Amino acid sequence: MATGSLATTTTEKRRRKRSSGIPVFVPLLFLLPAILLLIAFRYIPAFSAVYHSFTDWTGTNNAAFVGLAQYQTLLADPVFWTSLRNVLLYTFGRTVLTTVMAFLAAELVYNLRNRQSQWLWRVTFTLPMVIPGTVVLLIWRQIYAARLGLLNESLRALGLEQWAQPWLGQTNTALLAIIMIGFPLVSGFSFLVISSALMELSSEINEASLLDGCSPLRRIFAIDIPSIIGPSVLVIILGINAGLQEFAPMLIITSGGPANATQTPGLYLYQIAFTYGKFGYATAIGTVLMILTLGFSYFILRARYRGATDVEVQ
Amino acid sequence: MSKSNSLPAASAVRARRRSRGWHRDWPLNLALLALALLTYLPFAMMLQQSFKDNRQYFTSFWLPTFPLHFENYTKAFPIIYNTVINTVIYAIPTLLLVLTISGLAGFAFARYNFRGKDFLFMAMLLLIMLPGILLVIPMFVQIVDIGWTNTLQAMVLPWAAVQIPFGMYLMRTFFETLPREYFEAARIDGASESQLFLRIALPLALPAFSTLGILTLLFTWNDIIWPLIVLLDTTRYPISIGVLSFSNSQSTNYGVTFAGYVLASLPLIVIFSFTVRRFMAGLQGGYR
Amino acid sequence: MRKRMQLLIGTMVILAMVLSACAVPVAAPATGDAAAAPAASDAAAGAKQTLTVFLQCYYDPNVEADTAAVAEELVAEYETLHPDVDIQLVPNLPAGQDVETYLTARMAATESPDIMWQQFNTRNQRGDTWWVPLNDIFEMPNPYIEAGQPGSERWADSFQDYVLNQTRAADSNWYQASLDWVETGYYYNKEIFAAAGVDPANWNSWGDFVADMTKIKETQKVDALGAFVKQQGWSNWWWADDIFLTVAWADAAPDLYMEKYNDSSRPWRQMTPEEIAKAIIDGKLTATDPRMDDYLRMSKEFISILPADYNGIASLDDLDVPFFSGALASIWTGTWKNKLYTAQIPFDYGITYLPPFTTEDAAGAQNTAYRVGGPSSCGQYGIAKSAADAGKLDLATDFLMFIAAPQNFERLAVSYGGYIPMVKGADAGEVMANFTDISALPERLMSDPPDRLGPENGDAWSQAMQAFFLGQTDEAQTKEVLQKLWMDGAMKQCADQQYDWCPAQ
Repeated sequence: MATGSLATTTTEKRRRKRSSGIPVFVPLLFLLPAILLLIAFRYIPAFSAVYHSFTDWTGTNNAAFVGLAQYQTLLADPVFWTSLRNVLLYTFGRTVLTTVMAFLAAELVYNLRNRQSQWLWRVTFTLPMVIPGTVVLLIWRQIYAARLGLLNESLRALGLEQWAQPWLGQTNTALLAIIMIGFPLVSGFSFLVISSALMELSSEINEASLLDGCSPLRRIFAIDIPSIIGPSVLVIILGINAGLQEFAPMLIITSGGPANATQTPGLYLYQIAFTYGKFGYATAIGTVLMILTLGFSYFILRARYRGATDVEVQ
Repeated sequence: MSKSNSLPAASAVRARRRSRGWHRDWPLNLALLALALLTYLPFAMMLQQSFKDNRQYFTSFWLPTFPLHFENYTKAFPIIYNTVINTVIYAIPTLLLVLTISGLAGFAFARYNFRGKDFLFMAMLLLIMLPGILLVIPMFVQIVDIGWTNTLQAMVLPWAAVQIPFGMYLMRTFFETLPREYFEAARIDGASESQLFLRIALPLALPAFSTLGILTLLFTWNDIIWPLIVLLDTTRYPISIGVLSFSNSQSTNYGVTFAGYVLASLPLIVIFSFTVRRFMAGLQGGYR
Repeated sequence: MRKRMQLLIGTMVILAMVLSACAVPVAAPATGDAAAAPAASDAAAGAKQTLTVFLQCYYDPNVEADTAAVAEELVAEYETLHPDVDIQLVPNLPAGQDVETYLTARMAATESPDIMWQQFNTRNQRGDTWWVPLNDIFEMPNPYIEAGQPGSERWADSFQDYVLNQTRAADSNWYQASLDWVETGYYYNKEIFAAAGVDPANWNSWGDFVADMTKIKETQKVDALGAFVKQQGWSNWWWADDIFLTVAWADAAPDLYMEKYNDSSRPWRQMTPEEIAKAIIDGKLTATDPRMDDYLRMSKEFISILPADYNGIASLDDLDVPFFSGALASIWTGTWKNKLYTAQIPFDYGITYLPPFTTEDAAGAQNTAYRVGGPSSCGQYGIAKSAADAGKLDLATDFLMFIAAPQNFERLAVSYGGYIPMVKGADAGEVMANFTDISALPERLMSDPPDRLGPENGDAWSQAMQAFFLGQTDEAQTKEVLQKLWMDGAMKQCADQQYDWCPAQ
């Protein structure tokens, strides 16, 4: 790889303090493989999808241009609006739940005095990441079954018969049930990121605060939470992003029902494209979904990114 | 991660912590145990279902039954073996591409400032937000136009492209935590930019690479839709489809299916246990 | 250490670049041959013409190895007859909706198997954009059927009339040869029924049936009937929906038929999609009709005997858990379950069916029940348009006729044992044992929701009924919603098919 080095620095061009003589093509050269691959397999298909949202594509026909007709249909489609409401609720509930549970478990681990058991628990909660998502969904489908489902049977065994419900069969519980799949949601990336961040807090701060007579609860709010806000942003962005696109749990468990109570734009898109063969309409839904996700993420990322770099190149 | 020069009082606390570790921790351990039991429920169910025949599966869904049907594993093994080999064939080039390209891109974003950097970074990062299912058909039409259906690169390149935006983000945040002094000292010593990357950044980034590697591996192990569409030849199907081969829309052999899932998870568990230390270290640092 | 790292990374970069630069197909001699074959077929005498064939559950080596072996035998026999042909069987796909995804992608890329299975309603929806119309082919002689047997001079003669009638698309074409059939019945736990003092032999009307099922539910503390309503795609509630609509409209049937489909030998038959659309547009079939009160009432009675989460059950298989465990007294399912139930059910079970519907149950009832039997099975094969475009239509037709010959198809169907062969002269085997009475019943007037006015309209119908069951809409509102669905669906079908009777747009 051809590069410039400090030896060839041209001092007269050094306008800014941290500026160096590294030519601009160096970082671009580093970026080139990524740019090429992403253009070929992300940007081109994405633009193709957006383009087809202005056509009546069925996947096989010669798509005819229909202008904004698909978007007009979309605005008038009550199922789309229901699905949008559902996915916002789902994403909010799921992200909050995941983050809170991950933080809770991370705190429990962090407050252990024994280092070995800290390590052991972190490994314990990491390992289930290898369980295929489909297995988890198939098992949870049975957990919620009204008859012989683990949840209802447990409630009956505890004498809470009146709490037993057809969880997936009613509009007021189905979405909640989908949100709670995988409870306690500790195993996974969120827990690991937050717990790693806590582990990084120097133990001196923790111990000094204890010596100062600072209660653990106060320490959590005064020290722990502020220090994990950064990593939490990542977890939250990824959560929002995954949540807004979610369709697998609904596809496997409820098909979006009952009566669209768990319908999401991602699932709706999938059904419209692959079951009804209306790719033009499906790509219009996809485009709206994409704009929505991009909007959310953009604002959070804007807030997070302030450059921290070594050198300026010209 | 703790520094060596500590307060005397704190070291006293630490001494006490070591000595009284276990018995003080029990309420916390108990709470964690409860979380772990719930977390491991699907895992335990997968394991116990894998020893059942259909009659046992339907008559006693939640509890283990006897006799154990070990033959489920012998039935599942040939298909799982073949499809795992296929998956490895797709996963290794994918991993190499993801790690290399994300590493290079992450390094460029972390250590240089150049015009359009923020725009370029955002433009790449926002790709994480694309609804994947939306791109499946356009991407497939593209693959067909190039004539790549049923080929290795039709699996590898799109898979890599899916993982790279996140990988690049991960690597950027990791490289940003490396002290600037390392690089400045090397520059003064006359190291070229590629040497900075290869000699300093890469060795230090091994933990981050192992994190990205594991996450990519999990992805290649679980993706169903893309291989189903792009591979015409069923003998090339990966493990994600292999585990479903014991069912069709009329009947399912549940015991064999779950045995397949267990077998499919084994390679991951082995790889995981060897890399768990690095994997976790890779999550340290960064992300703020 | 650093040296080694550098080497490693260097190798990685080079590897990656090689990989991304050149196209490296995974080694596969078989497909290589296949790709080369068409080009070389004229030149070399030894070159073979290839045909890819997807037989669904009749070729699934991992799940049904015995039947797959039979399929391979048949292919070997065919290749002996035609040494210049190479038949490649494509294994069945894993469970789930993925077959549509798989097929959509392949059709977009003209890579579909040449002879392909698809559920007949979705197939008919795609019509001639994906499939070759078989109308003319059905008129040709099938050389594999013994001379003198039905079909030897005109292939269509080897199929039952009602099968041909039920598989007709909205444009009145046939896009598939339906070689087999599924029949349905109520598989019930004799122990639970006896404990409740219920004997299906005593059912003389729908009212009796509902009363007894309610009794089972209340006295035995179990769920009475295994059925569920799904908002998208298949659920066995569709069967109930067909029957209730049929019962409610039975007396009006002659008025709903179109002359061109009438067959004097069969005064009662299922309505075609075109007839449904026309009856709706003519105002003869309206959801606001008083008959629909009977339909809605029977639907409500039906769901009252189902498990509490009938609206949220994902698949019929899930109901096998309570059924096998004795927490569900009966289950409405089809012949494809015979093998599993015969071998695995831990109690004594019987097969029964709905009793006749009387005028007390619904004003239009004709004092009979209706069979749900239909072509939703493994033997529904069409020829992909891409195969015809590639010049393989004759070969595909010939092989399809070979598989459809009774002596050949019978072997597949009997080996699989889950479906009833519908080719005249083919023996059904044991699968029919408990179904003789049921299969003697008249067919339904109304087909499944997606077969009436297309899959999208059918799913919307399911959702409207779910909303009704959940109490989101009352009777009057539901009837209005259903009427709007019917009218919109019929108008859309008119726009798509351009029938000559359609109102001017």
